[in-house]
Amino acid sequence: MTNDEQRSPEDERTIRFLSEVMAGDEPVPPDLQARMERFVRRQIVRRTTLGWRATGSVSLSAGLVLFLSTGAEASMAYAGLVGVSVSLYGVLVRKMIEQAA
Amino acid sequence: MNPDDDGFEATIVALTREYGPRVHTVARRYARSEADVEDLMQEVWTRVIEVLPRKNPESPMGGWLTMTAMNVGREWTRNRYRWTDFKDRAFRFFNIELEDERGTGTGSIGGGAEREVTRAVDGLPELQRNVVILRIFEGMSTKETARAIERSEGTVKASLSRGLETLRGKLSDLEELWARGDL
Repeated sequence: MTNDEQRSPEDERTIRFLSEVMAGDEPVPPDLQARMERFVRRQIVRRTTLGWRATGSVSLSAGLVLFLSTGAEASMAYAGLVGVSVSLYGVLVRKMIEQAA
Repeated sequence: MNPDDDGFEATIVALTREYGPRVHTVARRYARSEADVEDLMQEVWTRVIEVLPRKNPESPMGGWLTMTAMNVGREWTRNRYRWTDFKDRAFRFFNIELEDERGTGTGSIGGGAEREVTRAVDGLPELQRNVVILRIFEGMSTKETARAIERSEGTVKASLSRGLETLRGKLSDLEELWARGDL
């Protein structure tokens, strides 16, 4: 600590004590360091693409548009097909944003 | 700088390399097992990714990272060990011998004196805590500290003085041991 002010001897002693006890950093084991680097890369990728909730919203919106634009036929098979398609579409949009980041 | 910016990932990875030992040391002062050290380090780096875009540019990286790591460590310890500490206290109250569970014991895996100092510093009000971290642990001058925490130099001096007084009261036994060379 830089000594840029007058201090009492008690303060000086406490400062020396605290500095000595807390001095020095412990090296990170190489395998732990490698895991940390992988972790931060993953975290950054996660932040540059859509979350799963947003992906769900994209799929839902696409599903609604598709369903309404085709006359909303109440067929279970058709609804299932639309469901699968828009889910894939949402995941694809998510992946494309991730790739673009 | 934002996570979307070019070079953000490279900046963060460079920080993990340069300041990894600092974060590791702080994590070992709080965590009670090696697995917890890794968990806590992940928490710290996650927080760094979140708050780095809002960092005061006047604040030196080393001091800012130590403050961030200690803030995360304090919150993380409170949440992670809340149940274990409660159980320990309850068992001790009823005089029941408690077998230490792996990874959830009561002591950190860092040195005993460091742990005690860390706890004492954690107990200080935020301003005093940050001033103690920057002035004493990081060796910054009053002027640099004032710029880093956006306060006046007078506030820094007063906070340091009050912080030291509190720490002296809490750590008097440990300081005596240190002065005698028994630490």
